Amino acid sequence: MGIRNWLILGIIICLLTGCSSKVGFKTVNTTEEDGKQAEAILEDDPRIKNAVLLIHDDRLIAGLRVNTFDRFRKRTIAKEVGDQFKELYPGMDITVSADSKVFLETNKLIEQQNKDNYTKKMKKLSKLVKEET
Amino acid sequence: MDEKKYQQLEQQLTPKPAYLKNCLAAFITGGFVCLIGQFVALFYITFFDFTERTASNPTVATMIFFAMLLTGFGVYKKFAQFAGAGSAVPITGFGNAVVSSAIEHRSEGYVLGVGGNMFKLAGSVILYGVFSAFAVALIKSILVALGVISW
Repeated sequence: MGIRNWLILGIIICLLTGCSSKVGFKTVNTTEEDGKQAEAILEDDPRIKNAVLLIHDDRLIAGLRVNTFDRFRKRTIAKEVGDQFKELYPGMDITVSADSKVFLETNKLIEQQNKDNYTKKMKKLSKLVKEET
Repeated sequence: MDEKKYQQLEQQLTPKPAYLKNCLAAFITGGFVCLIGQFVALFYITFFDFTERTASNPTVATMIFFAMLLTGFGVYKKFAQFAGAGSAVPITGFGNAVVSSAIEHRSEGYVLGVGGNMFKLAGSVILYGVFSAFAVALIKSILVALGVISW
């Protein structure tokens, strides 16, 4: 095989590996609150394929990844889930978003396991989600 | 030769455009341009404080910038010959239209040449883009006011 064919093969493999990013459902809870209920809500929703959930201090942040064709309604889905969370945890600052940024950053936060960083980063993410421009 | 005969002859001589091949080329290359755009958006999401929603503005600007550079270097022309609509429909086609008319009228001076002709083709894109955005926003506002959909 020539170098060009190898290159094409390499590109195809690189592109296809993007399809198999399985994060699944992750929950990190550093508070006394019951995080299992929130996790159950996310897992029971057939429209959500991956989700990361972080509960820390008085803040809850959830990054969702919805099925391909549900992406058209991802803001509605995030709002519905957020409303359910608000009923479960009154008094908590809740941010639920189906935006990739929230999903990626929350996942990164969980993987870094640096608890001192949590509040600062969570505040920043909540602010980013609200930005309209 | 009368008019009818001429038209007949003209139709016989004009080569039939390869519609299917053109469609396929436009589909593949247009998709490829969008793939690059997706990578640019991902770059802004990963390394800067942009969300999926806010990343679209810098992505559009970057793609136009790329198209402008490629037009200046004469690469976009070759790409467009193969891609057809695949290079014109994405936002890169807009950048190409602006820069190519600017280059074309360079010899007429900076004000009346470049300045006056730069948006010769892109001007209609802006005009109808703004108008259709207005029309769509109006329809959506009415639907929201009637309670059919929400924002």
